[in-house]
Amino acid sequence: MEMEGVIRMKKEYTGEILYQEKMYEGCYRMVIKTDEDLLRTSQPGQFVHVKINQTGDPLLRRPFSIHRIDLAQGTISLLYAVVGKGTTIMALDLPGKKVGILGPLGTGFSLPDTKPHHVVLIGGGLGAAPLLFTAERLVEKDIQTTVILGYADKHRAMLEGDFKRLGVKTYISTEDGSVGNKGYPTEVLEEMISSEKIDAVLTCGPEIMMHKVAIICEYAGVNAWVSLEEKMACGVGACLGCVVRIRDEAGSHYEKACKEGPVFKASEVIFHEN
Amino acid sequence: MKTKGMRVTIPARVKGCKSLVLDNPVIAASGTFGFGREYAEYIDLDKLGAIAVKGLTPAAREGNPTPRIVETEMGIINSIGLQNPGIEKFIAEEMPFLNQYKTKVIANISGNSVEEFVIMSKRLSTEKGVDAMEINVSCPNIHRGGEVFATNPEMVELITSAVRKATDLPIIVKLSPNVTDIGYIARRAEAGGADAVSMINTVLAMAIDIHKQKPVLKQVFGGLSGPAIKPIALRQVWQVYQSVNIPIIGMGGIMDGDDAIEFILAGATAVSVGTGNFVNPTACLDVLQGMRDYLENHQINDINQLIGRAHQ
Repeated sequence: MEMEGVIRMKKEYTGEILYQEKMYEGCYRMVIKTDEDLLRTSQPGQFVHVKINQTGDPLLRRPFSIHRIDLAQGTISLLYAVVGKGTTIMALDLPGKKVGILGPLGTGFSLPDTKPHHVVLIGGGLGAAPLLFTAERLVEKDIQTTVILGYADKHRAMLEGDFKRLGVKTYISTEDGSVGNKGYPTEVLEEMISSEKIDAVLTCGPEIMMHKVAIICEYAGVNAWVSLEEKMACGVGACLGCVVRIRDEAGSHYEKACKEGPVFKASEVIFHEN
Repeated sequence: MKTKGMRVTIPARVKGCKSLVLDNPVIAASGTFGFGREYAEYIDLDKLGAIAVKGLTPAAREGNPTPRIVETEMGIINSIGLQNPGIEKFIAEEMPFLNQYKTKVIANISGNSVEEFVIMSKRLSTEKGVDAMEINVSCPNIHRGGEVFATNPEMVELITSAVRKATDLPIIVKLSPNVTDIGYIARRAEAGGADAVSMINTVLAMAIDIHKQKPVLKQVFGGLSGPAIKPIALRQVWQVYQSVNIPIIGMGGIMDGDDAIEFILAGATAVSVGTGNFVNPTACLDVLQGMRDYLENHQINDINQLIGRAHQ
């Protein structure tokens, strides 16, 4: 049957783990060889929903933002920390293991209609993951890109080299000051936003940080987008488990992080109070 | 013919009322399949026996506050809270989409009173493309309505008979497992005029976050689904098969064809796939293929020959 808007059926892709890189204790970068269709259609800010084991345990897939796409190598990279059953299994996974991948899913970062001159990416901890893919695409489009990364300490500070390799101006903050600026990445943004012209800010990280970014950008009149992380089951918009509160004229309503998100306009998100 | 061997029927019990004929016994379970749109990107909806749409209420419902979902051992606990656009928006915006397909549509309805069930049944009966009504007396998430009805045999019979008078569509009563004697409640649904029962809805459950030292779900309790509840569901299907003479739609943790065959052997005429859809968007068709393979391997010509066979 010919359906409106449906060009071809989506499907699960098979991936094969090529290798894993330890970023720090309990944090890994997994590089997976997979189908070109998946790689070519992926946009920054979108995510993949990964079936880690074929045995059915853990039951649900695990969502990961797309950290890197390497078309030449035919790989997708995921950056993750060991936080539960799924990621514990992943950390033990060896090269050659097959995983099932749904994706790319969700709505990624969008940029203003007119080509921006300067985009700032701001990431906290693992929230830096989708920003590398984003930076790569911005650089390809010849858009001036600055990245501000915040971490707890030197031990967890990562990806500086990856961003610098792209030729992106990179700032690092750590809470304890063991490397880079002492403090939060939002402090760097605050300073920058008052002295430089910024057309758009894209952020991913702890909600408290993204909330702060939203407030700073709102005050400065700069468009900002946030990438939210919510617990989800299906990843395709059916279970309604991952809803987030979005402002509207009438007050607010729920939207799905997996479908309308995970990226939302910062000014429209009602952040959790706790 | 393979299609012929998979056809199952829920016959009308009252003269002048409609029967439900499914080309195959696999139904997408209510609340796990939206209104089909999301999954139409992954599978041909016409290959399904039926779609039980997301639970409908008279007016739109925003659902419960988050967190509303948590994964537990081989299962998921949810307290979505019947988030849905309401019956009128469903008719205006979702039925035209579903009517593009020949797959049967089962409208799942939840009311807070007998009157609400009656109003919705009447309204949906006039809609082209609605093939059956599934009466949700068992959703454990709503403080008013659902929980009370499902555990009260008189109310189950009362709602069923009221809906029977309001519609000529097949009536399926969805039973809650959170009761003392599910066989008795099924009999009361049958007495009220139900053409079939579907079972089981989710099992009331909870999870606690030991770091926050608080319940994980905002609503504290939710409904457990997935493989974790399959043995409970099977046992209750078995009991109800021995209690009533109307068909059973079996569900609870069906992930593949073998799981589905277990339910058929326990007495189910058809099966629903719920949580499985969340794991694999193609789960319903995988289950169907697995059932076909089973019939093939066991040289059985018709799925109907297997219904309740484990009781013999």
